Amino acid sequence: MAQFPKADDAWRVCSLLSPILALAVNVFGQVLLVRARRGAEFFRSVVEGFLLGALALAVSETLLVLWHRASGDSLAVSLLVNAPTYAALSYCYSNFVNLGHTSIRIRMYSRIAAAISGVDIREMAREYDDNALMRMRLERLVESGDAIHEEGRYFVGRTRFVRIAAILSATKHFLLGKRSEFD
Amino acid sequence: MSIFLITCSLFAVALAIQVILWKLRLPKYQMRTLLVILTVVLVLGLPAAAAFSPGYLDLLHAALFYVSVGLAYMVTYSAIEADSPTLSLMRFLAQRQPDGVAAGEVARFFAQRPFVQARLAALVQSGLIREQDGRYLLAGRRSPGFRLILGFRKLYGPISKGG
Repeated sequence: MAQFPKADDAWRVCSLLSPILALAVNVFGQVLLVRARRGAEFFRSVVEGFLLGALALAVSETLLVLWHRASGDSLAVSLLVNAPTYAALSYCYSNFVNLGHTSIRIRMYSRIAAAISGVDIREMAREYDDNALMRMRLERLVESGDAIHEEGRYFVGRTRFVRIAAILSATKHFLLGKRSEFD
Repeated sequence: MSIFLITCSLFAVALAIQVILWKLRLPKYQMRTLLVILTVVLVLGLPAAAAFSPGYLDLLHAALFYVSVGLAYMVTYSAIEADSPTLSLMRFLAQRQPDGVAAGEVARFFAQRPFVQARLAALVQSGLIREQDGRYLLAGRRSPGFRLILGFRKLYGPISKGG
């Protein structure tokens, strides 16, 4: 009889570690893909890393459900806890790697941190001007199909960012009482 | 099921506290305050939740779930606190449909939103850099968060230009 609590504990430990293992597969896979492609198709690697981790999670959760199939709790933990935990951790990871890739703040900090005597304010203004930022973002949006450039005018392409922007704007309005940090 | 309910309850409490505090007075350091709220709710809430949980492993599992969701919320909140140039631009384009926007109009839109200056001001305000004799200098030692991001970036090798 004393064996059952130990087996149950082992199952719980494995269930606890399952989303962490899946995240490790995600991170490892994503880094390997970026290195294999020498930095090309970075955002594709983030999606692929996520899918690799999701596959690892599906396998481990299936094994966990089979192991503990007498209990209805295992499927509930799998669907309600481990899947959202993995999704949340992967979301954090994708944002973390995107920070290093696109964040203006990180690039400026990195530039200042690398210069022992600091960086001239006018030099910073030349290197990081809003017009260059605008051109870069527009180019990236057109390349990804989120914006369309036709006859000198820009239009919305895919609407995914518009929907995210609308949700964030509504939340900002509710919490901060304004729709933009520049209002 | 208890893990799910414990985490949802703790997170709901943290969100409620945040909304109340934000409505009373917007904190100067919003992300730090949010981190403190999430941590305090976890530290005080888990022992209270022990009454509804069969064991410490379930509590640990609930803590992992809560930390994951809390971090994801903080990541999302950073996009609420500070505007994203990309999302602002997409919203601007959407508001000007179906006629579209000329490059000059986009430039005027960005001129009203000095993202670069705002990010520099945020770096100064958070004490990461300082302004001295017309130069930006690192204030103190490198931030651990930035070191982690910059260190991780090295795993990828050369980085294309971003911004």
